[in-house]
Amino acid sequence: MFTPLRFLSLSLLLLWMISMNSLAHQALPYCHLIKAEQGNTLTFEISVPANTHWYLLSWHTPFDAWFSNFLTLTDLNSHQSLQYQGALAKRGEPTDEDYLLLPAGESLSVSLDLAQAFAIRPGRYQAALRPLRLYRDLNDKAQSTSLECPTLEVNLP
Amino acid sequence: MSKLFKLSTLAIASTLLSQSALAEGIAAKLQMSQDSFSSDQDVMVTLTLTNEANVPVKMLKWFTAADGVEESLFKVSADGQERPYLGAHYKRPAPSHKDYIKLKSGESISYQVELSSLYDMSATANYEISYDVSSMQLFAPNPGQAKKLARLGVEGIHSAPASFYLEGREFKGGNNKGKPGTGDGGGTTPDGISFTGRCSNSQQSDILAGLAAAKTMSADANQHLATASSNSQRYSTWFGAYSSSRWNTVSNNFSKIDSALNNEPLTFDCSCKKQYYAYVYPTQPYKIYMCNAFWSAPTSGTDSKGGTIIHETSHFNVVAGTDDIVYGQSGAKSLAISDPSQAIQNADSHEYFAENTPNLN
Ligand SMILES: [Zn+2]
Repeated sequence: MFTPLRFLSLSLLLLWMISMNSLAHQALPYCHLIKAEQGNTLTFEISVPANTHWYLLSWHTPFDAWFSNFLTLTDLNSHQSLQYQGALAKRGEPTDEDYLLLPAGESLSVSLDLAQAFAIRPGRYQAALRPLRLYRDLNDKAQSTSLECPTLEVNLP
Repeated sequence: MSKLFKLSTLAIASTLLSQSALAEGIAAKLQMSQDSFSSDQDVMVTLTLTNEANVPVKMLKWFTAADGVEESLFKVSADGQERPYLGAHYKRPAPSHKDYIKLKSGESISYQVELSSLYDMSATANYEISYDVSSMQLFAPNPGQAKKLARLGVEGIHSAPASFYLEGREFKGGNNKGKPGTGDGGGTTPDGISFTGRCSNSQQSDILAGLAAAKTMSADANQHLATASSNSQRYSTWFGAYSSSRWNTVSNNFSKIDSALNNEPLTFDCSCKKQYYAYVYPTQPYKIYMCNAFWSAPTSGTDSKGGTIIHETSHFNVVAGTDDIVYGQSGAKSLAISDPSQAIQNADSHEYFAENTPNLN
């Protein structure tokens, strides 16, 4: 017998199945910044869930230090962001080599010496990265996902 | 950039090469690619080293141009006056086994070297060049050989000179306005344009052609912004919907770009080997680092040499302080639609507006 209740539960089941499917499809990497023990060094780390690999366009990410302005450092006292003193590069279209393979279940990290790109005075700062652009398949670059890494508040010497 | 091509290993010395000099059995010969060169031509010389001894000889690669020119290997003079070497001197650890090349008896090895990036060739003159390496390290360490060389007074390898005429780019102040000793290379043109980082003759002329195109583009951009109506398709394509304050910002940016290109002491550096077009440090006007993609770009039009110079100039904080928010024509067009306030801060948007290809009104 077809009751409204049964229809509702079927619909909910269907919705649940769709959402599970899309969640599995979107098992996104996790990215974050970590303050190193000493000095003005941050470590950027991106960790990929098991079962699925991703590609990251390395431009405008910590893997591109310091040829683009991918990090904003804001002085939490004055609310002013520090002037970027690194390089800005003009490039053509990215080639496959510009996409970094993020293997399933692995983590990649890179260390960022902030003193190479900012004149830092001692203080408390917020570090914010540009959103990352992730791809599942280099043959289908129209399908891409933007990933925001959480900001980090740090005391810099 | 030092242009170097390992040519070939020949079994016998070619008789076409007239000059030779002998030291411990190694003869050095030079042959110019041409007798005379114009200011936009690279100056190619072929260096041939031949083992004329009847035993194999090992030579230190550093002094042979095998890995590019990383030492002053040549003595160069212009109308009798010695020209400084502008390239790098490498500080190195003691040579190891793999730093030597072995020439069998009768064997020759040839290298092509581009000279205008390595020596100050700004003056119009008759040039004379010789291979001139005086280093006791030149030959493989071998106590017997070192003693023998000392006894014979042999200090290295010297070729007889080769000569050529060169029409120089006549940098400011006459003969020699290179910067010897900085390891930087270059000179300053009468317009105040400087070159560093081993720009060869052809690279200097590519840059000057790109700069001329950039000046034409910036003048045209200024003209458009001063005279076009607010429904300019050219403006809206690259900077989005009209607002008088954004239009003023863009106008101001282009008048500063135009002024920088025409009035400021620009420096172009040729040492970058990356696959970029170019890069700058926004806090360090007015130095632009040209990279690989620049050399193959057209002079004007989309992603051209001229447009690249506009793009890079716009980055300097004292000019327009732009950033690279998106790249490429499609990215810049989308940004104009989605976020005009970002578009007016994007370097490529300025470049494409200036290049105006395809032409919009
Ligand atoms: Zn740029």
